[in-house]
Amino acid sequence: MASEPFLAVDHIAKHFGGVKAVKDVTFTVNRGEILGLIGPNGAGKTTTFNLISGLLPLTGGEVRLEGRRISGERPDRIASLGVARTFQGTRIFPALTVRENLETALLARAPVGFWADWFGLPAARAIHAAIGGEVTNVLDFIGLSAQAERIAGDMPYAHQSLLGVGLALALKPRLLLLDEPFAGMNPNETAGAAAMVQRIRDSGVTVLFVEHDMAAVMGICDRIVVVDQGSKIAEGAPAEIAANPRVIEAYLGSDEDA
Amino acid sequence: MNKLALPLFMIVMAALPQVVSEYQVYLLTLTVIWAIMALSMGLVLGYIGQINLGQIAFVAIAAYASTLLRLNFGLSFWLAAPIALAVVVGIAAIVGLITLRLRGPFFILVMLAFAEIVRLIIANWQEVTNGPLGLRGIAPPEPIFGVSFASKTAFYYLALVVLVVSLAALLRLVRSKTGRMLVAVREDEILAEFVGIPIMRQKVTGLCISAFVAGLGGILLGPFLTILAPSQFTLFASVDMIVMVVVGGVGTLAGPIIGAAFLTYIPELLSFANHFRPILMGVVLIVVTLFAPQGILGLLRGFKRTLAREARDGQ
Repeated sequence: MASEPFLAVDHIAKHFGGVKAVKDVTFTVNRGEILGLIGPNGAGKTTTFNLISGLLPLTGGEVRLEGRRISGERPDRIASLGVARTFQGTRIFPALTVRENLETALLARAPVGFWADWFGLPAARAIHAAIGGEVTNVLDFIGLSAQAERIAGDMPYAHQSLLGVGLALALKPRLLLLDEPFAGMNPNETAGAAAMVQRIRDSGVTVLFVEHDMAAVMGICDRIVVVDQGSKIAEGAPAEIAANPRVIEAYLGSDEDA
Repeated sequence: MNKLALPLFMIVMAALPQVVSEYQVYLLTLTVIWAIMALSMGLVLGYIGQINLGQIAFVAIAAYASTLLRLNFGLSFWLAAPIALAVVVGIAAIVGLITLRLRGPFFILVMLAFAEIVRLIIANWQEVTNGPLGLRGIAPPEPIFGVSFASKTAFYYLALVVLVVSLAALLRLVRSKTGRMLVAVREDEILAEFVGIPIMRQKVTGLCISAFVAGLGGILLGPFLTILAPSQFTLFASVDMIVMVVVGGVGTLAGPIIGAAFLTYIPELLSFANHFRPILMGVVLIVVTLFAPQGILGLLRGFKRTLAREARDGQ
């Protein structure tokens, strides 16, 4: 078991009818690293994410977390095993304030009794107080303390995106999957978010993310996996990937195409 | 709503019968019962985020169950009522488990069909329900703890207590975990499921609580009207509840009560003919949706904000 990687993505495949969105992708994620999953549009990155987080059933292969098969489990079960994710385009609870959003995520699994909470018994109140403290911590971490009382849906996209990360962090994951965390951010915001991703890793959470912004990917990843047309075409340190002719071809097209 | 609103509302409502005529006490009681039913619809619309055209079925089941238990088995009101409420909650759980998987128009249609089935059973099960002629001569609740409910005023106070206790309990509920989880499911089901909220269980719980409140209105209807007939429980009654919620303000609990007061008391007071009521409700619904989508409560809040802004700018 000592040789089992933290997360093993083992020959996974996903076919939508005749379309093979993910043909055969295999890679591992080591504990404590930041792994970037990149590839051109339609390469199968988000599908791979949906397969790992259980949002889609696999056509083939399996996903293991510390040697334990998690593919086939329901998304909420996978989340409770320590794999949290954000969503492309960001999912939040738009009508709630930022604080209420995070409270909701923390409250969802809190052992609050239905009647105890309805009638405000001390046990339930203690849990709410504890959650209030945790919310403050997450707000600090994602840098939204000043926006705590804003209606989440009214915030600029970059802030909603940070809140999406906060919602995932509220589930206290060991592995965090970020789906295009820097989309729609200006360079300043991207730098701030990239620093946050590194702080997340430093706090002991392994990070796997899908991203288009190559500069950001090169800057913060320990390793990079490149997929194209549903298959892995390269894997390695950022410098190796940047020099890999197959990667350059996938992104820019080969000479024959031109 | 600020903390003063509920006590103030209670004091005004409690004082009213002392200063108005007996006919107005009747109207006030009618308003309070409609407010209880609208409150139940407010929970469905605002917190489950569904439109329930079959909500009146829960009222009908509670009304008939409690009254039949009294008439046929000689149970007292105080024993029949909790049994009827338990029946309604049980039926809501079963119906909810089936229908809450459906979305949008499908949920609406199936609940509408459910309500029609309930109404048709009541209309056709002659031996038990006396069919379209209905149940007549329903007595006021038996005296309990030395309090008699024979007078119109005493019954009004009973209905008012039911409304206030329901409102207070629901105000607490929507601030508790259950309320927050319901709102989360309404806002984004995929995210809600992902953070670990059992979606179906939340929705069914919400519908059961809503049915319980609707049932509270139902158990009061029989003794209040002294007659129950299937014609009282048509689609239009569910629509009335929806209009009350929309007029008062969706997503709040005070809204349905304001809407019920507005739409019960005012038309009756102006002695509108009863058969114009469905048309009136339709017109009101269109006007409010177009010009005040947040309802009366939204208008009041907007007015308050404007006042505050003007006060600030004036300085």
